[in-house]
Amino acid sequence: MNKLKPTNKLFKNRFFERISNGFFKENPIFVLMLGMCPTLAVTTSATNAIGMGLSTTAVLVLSNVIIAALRTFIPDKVRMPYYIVVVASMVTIVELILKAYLPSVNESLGIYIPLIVVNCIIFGRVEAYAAKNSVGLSFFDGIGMGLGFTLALFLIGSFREVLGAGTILGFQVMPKNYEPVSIFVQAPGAFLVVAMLTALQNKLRLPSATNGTGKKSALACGGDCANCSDETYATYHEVETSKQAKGKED
Amino acid sequence: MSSGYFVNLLVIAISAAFINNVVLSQFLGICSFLGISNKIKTSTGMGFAVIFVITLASIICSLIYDFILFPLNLAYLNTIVFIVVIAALVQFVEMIIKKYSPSLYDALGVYLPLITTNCAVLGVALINVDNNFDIVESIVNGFATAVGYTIAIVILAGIRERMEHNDITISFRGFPITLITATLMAMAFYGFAGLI
Amino acid sequence: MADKKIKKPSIIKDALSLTIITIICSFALAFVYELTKDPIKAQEDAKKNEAYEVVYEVADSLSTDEELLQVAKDMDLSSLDAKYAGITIDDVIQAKDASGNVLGYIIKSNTRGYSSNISVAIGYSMDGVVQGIELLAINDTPGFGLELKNSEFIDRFKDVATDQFKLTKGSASEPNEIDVYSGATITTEAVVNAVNAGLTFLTENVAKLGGVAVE
Repeated sequence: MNKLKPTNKLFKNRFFERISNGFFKENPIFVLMLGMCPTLAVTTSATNAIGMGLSTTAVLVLSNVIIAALRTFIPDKVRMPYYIVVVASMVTIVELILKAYLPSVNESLGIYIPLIVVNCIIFGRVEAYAAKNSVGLSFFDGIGMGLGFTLALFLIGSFREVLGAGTILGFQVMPKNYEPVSIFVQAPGAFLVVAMLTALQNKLRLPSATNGTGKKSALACGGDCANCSDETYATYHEVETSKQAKGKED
Repeated sequence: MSSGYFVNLLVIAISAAFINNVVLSQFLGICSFLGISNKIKTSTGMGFAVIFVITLASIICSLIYDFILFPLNLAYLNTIVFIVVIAALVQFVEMIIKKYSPSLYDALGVYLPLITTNCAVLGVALINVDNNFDIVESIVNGFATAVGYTIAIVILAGIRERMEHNDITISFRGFPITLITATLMAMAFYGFAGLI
Repeated sequence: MADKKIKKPSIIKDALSLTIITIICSFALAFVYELTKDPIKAQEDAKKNEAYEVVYEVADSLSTDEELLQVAKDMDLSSLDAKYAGITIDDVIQAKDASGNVLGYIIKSNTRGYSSNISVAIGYSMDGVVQGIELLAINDTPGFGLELKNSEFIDRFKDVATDQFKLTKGSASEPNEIDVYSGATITTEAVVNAVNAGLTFLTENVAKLGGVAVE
């Protein structure tokens, strides 16, 4: 199912394997289809995409490391509030640092920076990986996933910026007489580009959560929200239904 | 003065529901918008759950901000406070309606857990603060945003129900065609920009 | 989760551990906040000053006019014109030449666009010429309101001798007429109103201001 599997032998180092995993095998946008919200919203330019990608990476790495370090102490029943508090704190820290040292990035990303809190990638990785693995591995998992996310955002952002404004990172790349198709930097363009991307993945039979061939993440959010709730709430509903069933038996 | 205030509220409402539609132009709550829009019935249920939660969250977050965070100079804590409040609120609402109104729970209950991770709720709370909306403006903005969400998801579900039996190129089936539909809807919603 | 089977000690333990993590996080946040507080303020000031220099290029030094700022803070701008309701002026700066003579003023006014706050800096000389404007904060939709940030729109205001700008729909012919930016009606109107409020405030409150009338 996964074409990239044979190359895994090359990556003997487990840390390196984590990074390549984030870039290729489980790329959060192209393969897992996580975090659709920023994927659509901040890819209006390559610069925004990189800003968002790196901010998310920072939050992901910090949260992964903290949760991995605390994983044996976290009571299972209250783990979601735990994650929420830790992730939200990390987001606030990143936001404050951006405000202090990179105000232009913070300004152009606006409320999408605090909204990293509800990005499925963060909770997905924290729950599915950091809660079960060592600090070192979780750190590299965060780096891999974050940079994979950044790369994907950058590619989509560049594509939209080239067509919509004729530039990449603000540099003119299209011929002078190119008339920018501004719809690509506006809202409909976001949907259109991602639609084409997923259609292409289907056509080429590339692994993607949207066509069911990709590796299903515990919290895959993009294609189907039912999956989004899988791990987080499935346990909860299991508890509820089993309780109800038990109640009936009694 | 008072008529000016009402005009202001109307502008906020129209702009939140149509022009800056939460899903089609701000991309908040995309996940559920694309994920559970295959049937009108479920979409409507989700829509009403979202209206309920967002309006409630707007009121509470706005009160917390105006009376606790801002006076104490703790505005920088708003993200963490809002998300914790929203998560707790959703759980709490779920427990309450389960206990006191089983019929309402049947209609909305299943959607409630999905709403915590719906970025529209946190997004609205943050937008209210960013724009210095007072409590009434926050409620209007929250309610209108959620109505905009409901309109968008119900329309999408209606279109998807019709498309179910259409002959769509294999590569475009499922997710891609839904996104194309969303593209066209977003374009259509641009027309509302001329309203005000 | 209302699971009745949870034993009491478990609830206390869970609550306690949650409380501890929350306290630790709060301390971490407070620490970072203290560290970043000054840089954030410095960044905001730097950005403001940069914009002020752009709107008044010929000025050598800028200083806050505390007296006028106090007047601006005490005043309800809607008393000048009902259109100015909701606009506030939160900075009044004197622009001086090398020898300290007041050349004119810079006003920073705030208003609401249709999705966010807009704040505009306006440079206005003593003889009634708008030196330039700059949008300090505007977060409207990309492709629409945001396009107002481009120089074409901003330059329409530059070097115009007037005390009021007029909003027109595609038929601007006089220097003090501004065309509504297609698709950003509310935002254009908000910007023009904010500029006008600043100009009116100055002509009303600065006695020496020449105030060249519009023909």
